[in-house]
This record gives sequence, C-alpha cells and structure tokens, in this order.
Amino acid sequence: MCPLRSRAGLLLVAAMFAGACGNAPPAKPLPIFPIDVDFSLLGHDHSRFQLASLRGKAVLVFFGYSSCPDACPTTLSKLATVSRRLGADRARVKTLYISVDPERDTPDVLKADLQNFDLDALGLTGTKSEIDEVVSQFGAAYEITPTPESAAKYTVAHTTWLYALDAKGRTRIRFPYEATVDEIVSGIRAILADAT
Amino acid sequence: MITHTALMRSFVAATCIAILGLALSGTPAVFAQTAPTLTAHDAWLRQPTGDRKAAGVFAIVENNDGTKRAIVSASADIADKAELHEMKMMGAMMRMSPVTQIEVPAHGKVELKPGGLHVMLFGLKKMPMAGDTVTLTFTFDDGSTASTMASVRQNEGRKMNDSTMPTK
Repeated sequence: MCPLRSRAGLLLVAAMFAGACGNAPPAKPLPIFPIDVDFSLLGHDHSRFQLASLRGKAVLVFFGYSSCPDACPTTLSKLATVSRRLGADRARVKTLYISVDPERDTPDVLKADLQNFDLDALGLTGTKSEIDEVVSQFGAAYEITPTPESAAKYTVAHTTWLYALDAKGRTRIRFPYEATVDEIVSGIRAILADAT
Repeated sequence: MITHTALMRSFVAATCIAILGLALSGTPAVFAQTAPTLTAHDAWLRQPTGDRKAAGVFAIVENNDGTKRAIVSASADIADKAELHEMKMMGAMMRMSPVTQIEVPAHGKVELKPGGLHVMLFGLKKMPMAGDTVTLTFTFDDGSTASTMASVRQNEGRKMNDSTMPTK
C-alpha cells in the first residue's frame, strides 16, 4: 500500500473518532477490522502468553525484531511517549512486541530490549510456524533475506503497522508507521471510550 | 629625542601590524589552508537498547567540489565493522539492505538519516551511552577521508532512574 493511501486511511479513522474528546459532536463508532486474532506465544518472561488473557484492556500490537536499528526502536520510543501521555489510562493499555526474528530474539534478548523503555510491553517470540500464523492472522508480512556480504548475516523486512485492539480483542485501528503520538493517543482514547 | 624603549615599542608594534596584515590578506604560502573538499558533520546515533551489538549512525556529508564523489566505506572507533546501509519503506514494509556506495553530488550533500541511508556499526566494543561521542570516518572513491564526532543520543521514552541501565 502506498504511504499516501496509508495516511489517508489513518486520517479517515482519525476523523471518525475525532469527536471522542472535547466538545465536538459525538463521533461515529470506530470500525471493526475483519481481523480475527487469537494466539499463544512465548513471553519475554518465559511464560506462555495467550492474547485472550488481555480481554478488558486495549492492546497495541506491532511486529519487529531486536536487531532492527531504526523502525523498531523508533516505534518503542513513540509508544513510551504515548504511554506517558495517557496518564492514568496507561494502566488500561498493554503493548505486544512480536518478534519476526525468532532465531536471534530469545525471551531474554527481548526482555533486555524492552527493559529500558518506560512502557508496559511484553516481548513475544515462538517457533517460526507460530509466528507465521500470527503474522497471517493480522495480515502482516515479513521476509528474511540472507546478506552474506554483511555482518548482519541476514536482513529482516517487515510491515510496520501498529494494530490497536479493543477490550474484546477486536482490531479497531491500524496505524501506519508515520502515525504521530497525538494520533495514537487519540485513537487509544477513542477505543477506551467505545463501549460497543 | 627618541629613547631606546620607544624604539623597541615602535618595532614591536610594526611587527604585529605586519603579521596581522599578512594574515588578513590571506597570503597563501604561510597562513592559508585549503578547505577540505569533503566534510562530514552533525553525526549522531541512538543509544542502543538491550544487548544490541549494532547501531545505526546518521550524519551529513558535504562535497564542496565540482566532481561528484561517493562514500565507499566507513569506520568507527567503537565498532569492529561499519557498513553502508539503506532503509526503505515500500508501502508498509520496512526493508533494510547493505549498499556498496553512497553518492555525494557535486557541490551538494547527502543526509544519512533515520528511515534512509545510514551507517550500521557491528560488533560494538563498548556500549555507547547518551552523551558519549564516537569517531566516525568516511572513505571516498578518490581515496580521501573525512572524520567527524558522532554524539550519542538518549532514546526518547527511556526509563529514568532505572537501576538496570548500564553505566559507563
């Protein structure tokens, strides 16, 4: 999808929940994406995690990997800022950081990657087939390309969508990588306020 | 009558004026230096998180010459290896790949920045911490080099007062 179309999609979603805050007229309900997700992966705390255990909370999901030098730390930094901006509502939001590089990203590696960010996030990994299944459920994608000429040995390309799920586990917003802190905060607030 | 002291003062003053005059006139043989053709500046990197042994470095490289040049390699004092890489967003897909060179246009500049061309450091010998500086050197296709100091920036959203944060 081209970035312009991504941005347009976000703006459309933003317009739909723009009235959730302030004195604007009541907003139209958020859409419900036809993304049916439920999965079990290994958490960075070495415990088995089931998505259904987060019912009642808003959940942010993104795919990445710990060796990612740019997009992933940028997203983590952005989400830490989002979390701070949410104030008391941050307790109602959980972030899931799903690795698409299971060979390198053990639970301990993910834990070390996350521990310095001021964010209630769980790093998730698993077997390649488990991760492929979750990627497929979200309609996301990733590719691993060998780069023998590089010290990286291989590169990992991945989609950078940020999925926002409501308290019932339904995907309500899919933010593009370019989404700002303000846009994400507004989106989460709209999800938390939505009782449908 | 002119005294010895007055003569000395006059001599010193005249000498100073002569030296200043030469400096201001830009007399090439003694005082002037040729400005470097290729320069690098505004270099920085994010403080790596966790156990990352790699880091992306960003900078601006300028070419003051009329001939286009290319960066063919880079090195940094804290890394075993530095490579030229490019990140590209293709739709929603983020792709990173090594590149063999980075062109610097004639009388122009190239910006190595997040989301685009950058230098990847591998095999960090020490964990760069916010406030540190890293020596970064670019080598160009004409064999010349340009070095600059890259500053290490804190990741936004980083925990404060975290006892698990590594110290220098």
